[in-house]
Amino acid sequence: MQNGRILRIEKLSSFDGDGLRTVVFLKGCPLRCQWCSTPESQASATDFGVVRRKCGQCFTCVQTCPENAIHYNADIDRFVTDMARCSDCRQCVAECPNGARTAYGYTATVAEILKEIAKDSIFYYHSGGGVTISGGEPFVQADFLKDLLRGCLLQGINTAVETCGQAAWDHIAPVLPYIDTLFYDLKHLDDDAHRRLTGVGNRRILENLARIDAQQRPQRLIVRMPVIPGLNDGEENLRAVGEFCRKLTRVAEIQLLPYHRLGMETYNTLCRPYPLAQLASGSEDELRRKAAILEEIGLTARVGSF
Amino acid sequence: MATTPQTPAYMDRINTLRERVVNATPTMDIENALILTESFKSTEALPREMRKAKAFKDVCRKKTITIWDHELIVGCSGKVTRGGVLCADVCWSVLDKELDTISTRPYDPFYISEEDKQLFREVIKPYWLGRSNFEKWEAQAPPDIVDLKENAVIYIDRKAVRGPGELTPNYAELLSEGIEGIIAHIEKRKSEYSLAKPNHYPRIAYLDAMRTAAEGMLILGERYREEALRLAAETDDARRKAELETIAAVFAQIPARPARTFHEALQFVYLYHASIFMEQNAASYNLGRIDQYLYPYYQADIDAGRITPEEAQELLDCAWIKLAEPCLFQDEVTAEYANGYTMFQNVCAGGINANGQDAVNDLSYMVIQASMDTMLYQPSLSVRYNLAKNPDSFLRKCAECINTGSGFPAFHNDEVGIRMMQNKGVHLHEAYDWNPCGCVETNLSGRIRGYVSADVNLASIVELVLFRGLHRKSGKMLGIDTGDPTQFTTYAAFAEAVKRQIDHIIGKVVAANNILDEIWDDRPVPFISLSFRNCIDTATDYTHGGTKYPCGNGIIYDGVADFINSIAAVKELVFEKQSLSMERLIQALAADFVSYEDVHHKCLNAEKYGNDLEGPDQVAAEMLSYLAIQTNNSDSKYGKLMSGILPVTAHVPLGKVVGALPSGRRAWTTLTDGLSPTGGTDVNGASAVLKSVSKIPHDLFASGTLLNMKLSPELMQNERGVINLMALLKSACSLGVFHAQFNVVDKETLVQAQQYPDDYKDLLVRVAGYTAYFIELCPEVQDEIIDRTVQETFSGTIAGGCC
Repeated sequence: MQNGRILRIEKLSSFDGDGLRTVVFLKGCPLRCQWCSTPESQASATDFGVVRRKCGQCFTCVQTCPENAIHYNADIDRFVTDMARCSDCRQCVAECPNGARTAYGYTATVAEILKEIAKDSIFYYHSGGGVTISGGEPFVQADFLKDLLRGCLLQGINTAVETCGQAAWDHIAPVLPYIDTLFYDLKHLDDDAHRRLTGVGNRRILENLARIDAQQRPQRLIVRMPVIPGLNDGEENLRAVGEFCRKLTRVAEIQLLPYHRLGMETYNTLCRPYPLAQLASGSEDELRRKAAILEEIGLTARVGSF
Repeated sequence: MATTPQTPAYMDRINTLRERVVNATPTMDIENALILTESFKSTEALPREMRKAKAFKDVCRKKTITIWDHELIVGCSGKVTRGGVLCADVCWSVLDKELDTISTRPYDPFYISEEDKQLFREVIKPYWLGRSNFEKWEAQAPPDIVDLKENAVIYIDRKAVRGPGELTPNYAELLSEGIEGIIAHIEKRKSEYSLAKPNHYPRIAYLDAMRTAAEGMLILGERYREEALRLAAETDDARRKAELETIAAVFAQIPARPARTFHEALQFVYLYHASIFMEQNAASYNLGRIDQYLYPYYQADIDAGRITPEEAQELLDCAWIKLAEPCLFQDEVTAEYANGYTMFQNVCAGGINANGQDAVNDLSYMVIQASMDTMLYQPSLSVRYNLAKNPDSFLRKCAECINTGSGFPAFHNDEVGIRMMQNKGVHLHEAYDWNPCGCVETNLSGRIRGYVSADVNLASIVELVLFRGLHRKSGKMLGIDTGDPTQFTTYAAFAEAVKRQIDHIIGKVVAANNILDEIWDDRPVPFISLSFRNCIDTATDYTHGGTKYPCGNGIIYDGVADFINSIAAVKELVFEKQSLSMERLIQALAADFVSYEDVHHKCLNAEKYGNDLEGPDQVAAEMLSYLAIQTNNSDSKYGKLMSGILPVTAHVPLGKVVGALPSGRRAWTTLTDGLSPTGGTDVNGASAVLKSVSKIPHDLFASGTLLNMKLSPELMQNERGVINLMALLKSACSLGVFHAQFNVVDKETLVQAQQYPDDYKDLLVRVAGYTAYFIELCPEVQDEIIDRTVQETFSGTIAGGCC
């Protein structure tokens, strides 16, 4: 059985597929989207954060660390962890008297995660829900993902995966038979713009989507586009995304997801700058107008919940 | 039947009636007590039962009766709209103690006029001094019980300061026979006895008392008929005149003769219900399965074209407003244990019929609609939801009502309710007809006796184990020495000590209950007994076990989460991880964690109940099964004792006497209500809460179990919110959870309501098995509701959607 790197598990989610779902967030992502709302999911390794408003500056973490990996940086008034020295023992988290220190990420076996998923099977049954694997980028841990989804399938648990599409085809193809619904992100159709906004170009992402479109599984393919005001929400890009999907045969619908700044708090905790601090959320009406444009092209478009 | 899209015309009347109730001040109502006192003075030489019956009849004859403007359903237990009716024969002394403070006390204040205070001092008190039921209990309670109750290890005065309540008349029988039919039945039974035979006289005397009480109700009905005619003659408003004439026509038929129409049936039910309070003030007189016994009358009216669904809804709504009027009068201490004035008048919709099949009908939806129309804290709306038999459209109606934020309906899992009734000794085919009672108790109309008599403070039990029987607040030995905890080498040894302490406290409660059963035999209720057929058939009062199914009283366990989390913390930290010694834990607890911040930190971080975690949930299953079984193995003169988990608001005062606990709870703070996880410790969302709660064997707690959950209203707004809630409710049923109650109110509103109470007079919240006006609750309860974890994840925002 494979070990996986997990960020967290969220239960009774209502917006990542049908019914009430358990969402398993995996660690590690090849993209660095400027608007990323879960920056703590990007690295495969553990991230340590400090909730500033809880931190009493008592130095317990510094004193506790057996590797002397934590020190206080007076210039930025923060406790900084030297990840090169950190052994991930988490004593700093356990001993923090104010509960200010948080570790993001842990290692778990497929069996352990399956057990956690199965806990809510009665809720899946009554709501038509199931499990959604999100990230990070799930295909980064393709073997773990495959075993996990196969385990769900054997128990009759409906599966969904959310992907950015940036993965080797060899990693994607073996997993597809175990996916009921695949949510596939398209952020920008222009390669340069995509690279500017996410750190990588879109060539492989578009190629993979076209190849998945030609497979029998997943049962349902849904394209998602996060709509970031001023960055990818121009009509030209919207139409380009629409045209690309129209040429495919199995895209059931396009979902336009509203931009939000709920991740800001985590950036602060991680002591990282939030690139889009000044960017306000868009309006629901605006998003509906954009959905109407996609409908004109002949696609089924839906606006994600605010 | 779908929710009416536009505001129906009848809502004008309902809103007008509603305003009158909302704006009325709770007032002490001593008129009945004055009539009772006068009556009792003239009946000294008669049997107790006959004295009660004659007093009841005198109240019917002499009490003030009022038909307020716009009313279609009329009647009132007392004299004023929101009255607290004093029941002097049960307990007068509590009002005496609080005569000058009751209007300003923090919990459930009542206005009382100077004139009434004087009447109380000069007429009521001098007669009842030394004669009330409560005084008998105060005089006879053994010292060890008094010690336990004074230090809130147990609470046992609740049903001594008022009647026991917790019963459901057989309304189907009353409606189909009429009071004259009941009297005929009494006479038939009486004819089977002979004064020439030994021991028959008490039977005959009792049946005479029943007849006297029944005659009282006939007089009361006739007085309302006359009053309606009088008002009809006086009014110039043609519409109101016609309404009053209809009311008079209704009273020309009922209560004497069987009801023929929906209006007659509903008025009959309300009149009988209101009259019960005149005999004995108590909480939890239930209307029971109103959608079932009223349905034949509704259907007949519809078929005959006598009524439209809107007209029937208007009548139901009018009855709902009437049920919102009475206020529970109780002493200051009891009010602290159960505040919010609520009378726990439970109405039920849904469930299955006598054949075990779906019983949902048009009225089931209308009953829920009545609560949605009136949005008042009474009656207590309950549903029996049978997952296998009841339709999704009914569940949807329930979910829509929950979504209004009223806290209603209290959602009961039908299959578990049926099993609870069986555990009370009721045959399965009759258990199909059970109804929720009070907040979450189980009941059976016209057939069963038994009520909750005591509360046990589970948090105290943990304390008594860790401190070898010593009660920290009082410094008294209130438990037994179950051994030096520092010498326990295994969790099993510790668990055994907990169980021995449980046995000790249960033993004390059983003893107290036996004394109370004898004392309480002295408060017969011949009028109530009219609606319990077996009481007539055996000529035995309800109080004396005359019901078809006698049943022992119920013991309520409070502080469940504190108890589980404390035992689980000891298990995890001291025995499994061995990261903390028992000695140091006890030192820290003795110091209320002051200078033991590291211990406090460990205690708070130990695994907590409510997160679907094996550790604490196993403790929950083990210890609560033990409690239920040990209770149920205890005998009383009316049968085996029952157990329940329904604290009302007892967790607030019970917390004030308990020191720091291994759960991390600080000394003297509020305990956790019902089955709920401690606020802020249930971090895995609603499904995890339900999973943990399901580890408790609900069926064994035949007096009921109570779960409170709060959902943010803004997350429930769209269509999917209601559908999600339906899935959650079905899941709770599949898991075997008995009851769940959802508060759909956001935190901000509650904080605002605390600051500006005048602007939030209408704000309803679910407290603990009942709904109350938020602003009328004590600050501690308000704070707790505010602090309870909001289940944000339930239908939250798009998770990870933007990365």
